[in-house]
Amino acid sequence: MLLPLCYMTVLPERMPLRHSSLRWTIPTGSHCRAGTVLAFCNLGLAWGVDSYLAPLMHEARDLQLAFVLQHPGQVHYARDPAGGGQMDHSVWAHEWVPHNEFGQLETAAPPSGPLLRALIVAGRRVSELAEVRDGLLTGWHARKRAWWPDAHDPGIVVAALGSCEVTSIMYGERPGMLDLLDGAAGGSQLLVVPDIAAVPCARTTLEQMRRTEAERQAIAADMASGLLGIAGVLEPRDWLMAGAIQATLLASPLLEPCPMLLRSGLSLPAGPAAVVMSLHAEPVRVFRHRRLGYTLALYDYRLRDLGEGLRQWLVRAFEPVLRSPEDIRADFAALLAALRGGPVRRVLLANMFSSAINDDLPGYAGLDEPLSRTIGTVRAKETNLALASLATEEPNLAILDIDAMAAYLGALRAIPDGMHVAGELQSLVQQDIRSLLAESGLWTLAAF
Amino acid sequence: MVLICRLPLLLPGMTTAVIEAVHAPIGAAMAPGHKLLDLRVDLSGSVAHDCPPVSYFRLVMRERAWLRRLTVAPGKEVALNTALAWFTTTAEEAAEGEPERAARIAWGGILPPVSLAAGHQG
Repeated sequence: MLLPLCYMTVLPERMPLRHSSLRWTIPTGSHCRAGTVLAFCNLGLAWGVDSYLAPLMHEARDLQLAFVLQHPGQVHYARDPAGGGQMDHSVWAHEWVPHNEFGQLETAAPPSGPLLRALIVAGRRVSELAEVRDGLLTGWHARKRAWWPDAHDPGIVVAALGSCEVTSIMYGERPGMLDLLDGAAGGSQLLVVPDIAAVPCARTTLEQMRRTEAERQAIAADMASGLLGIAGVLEPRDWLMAGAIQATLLASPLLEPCPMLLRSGLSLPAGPAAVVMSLHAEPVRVFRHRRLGYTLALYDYRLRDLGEGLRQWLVRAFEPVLRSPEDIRADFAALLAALRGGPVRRVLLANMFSSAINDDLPGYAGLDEPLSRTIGTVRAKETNLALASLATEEPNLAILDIDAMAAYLGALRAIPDGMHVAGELQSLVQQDIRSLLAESGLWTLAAF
Repeated sequence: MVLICRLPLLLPGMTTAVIEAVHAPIGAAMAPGHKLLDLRVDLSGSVAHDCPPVSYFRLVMRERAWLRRLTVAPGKEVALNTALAWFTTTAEEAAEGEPERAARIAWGGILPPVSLAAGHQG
């Protein structure tokens, strides 16, 4: 049987939408599984810019909708003669008309529910200059979100604070974060804050939550005077990096609104109910601002990329602070205490891979004590243990045991370069996240 | 007996390493457990990559020997299998001629150094 694939009702009638032409992700005639993103378009909020929409305005330029197939079959479509070219990007190209047909699904078995589900994604650019509309949710974003709009009320928001393995697990291999979001109830939302410039460790996350407006202004003013006071010239890349660092310091991702477009219109959930974090975002050394006292954590490769001017400012303005596994445990304990009573009911913490994939050590002689300050695997084990013990005391903390999963799969297969996860391990961790959220009563499957 | 230490394969896929620190002076009497060199291996060195896999390793002696010659200094990038150091098994002999065998060296992954000025991150 040949069934029509149609635009559906996404928003209330009073809130008309416009959209770019559809960009198909598959060739016509493709046999597709349920859960495949067939096509997507950019969305335009056609009812104007006013205060009601203000929460979405920083994401309005990278607001997109994807059609996700819910029933397997062969997909047929014809190229829209009014599409292509810049119409594939312009949100003013077309009026959103529910029930308009844009393709067909050829299937032997009759479907038991809707053929398609709409998925909305939104990205907040680090800079509006970072215009990258090449694909679904592409671009240099300070945060990326995806949600199912087929509900009248917001559901659960699950947030993740990068490091790279956490963002990779959340983004998954299917576009639109569907590895994790597929099957979740309408109104469910994923929010990912990647480690754009600074590393989101527990201490910096807590400081972001506690920072007052006066402190934010002091940080901004200090950076401005500090950068202008350096000897020599800042390179363009340093201005960009400094801006990205400042934007991170002034933000507080766990407290910021996560507005959603739903069938009832614009809705503001209470905030993330669960947060995914990683011990890989807990460096041995962070930097403390000498005068203002705030913490900054930066990756080694970012530091090595700095121009001399920005490095001068960092050296002058900050002092290094070395942290033990117990310090990191204390940071998480403080963060959990600060979250208590708020919307966050569960923190899922990915532990560290602690096995050596290529060491050839018959003993620890020649390696300075304490070993947790010298040997990566010892530090990882001690940090994992410290946080595992915290999880026994804190019911809201659950450990994503990547260390055990990698050992189960085989380290060279699961983490081939010693730090970045391969697809099989990523899939196992995703299953664990879904299980932990379901056990907590936070993640429910769609019933529509 | 003359011994040689070459840059071992510390990680699959590595082609070079950068010397981070030299722990022993020429002439030092090295014993099992003595530190020789710290190295940085950047697997993105040949293929540029965001969030590159950068690892640090320490080479440690597994036998008694006298350090006679070093071809490396901090900051130098060396290729896999490059001769890094020559040793002798007695204090009196000269490190001349072909080495008879590889020095017994162990290596382990270490945490990065912590100097901000040098652009390191722990």
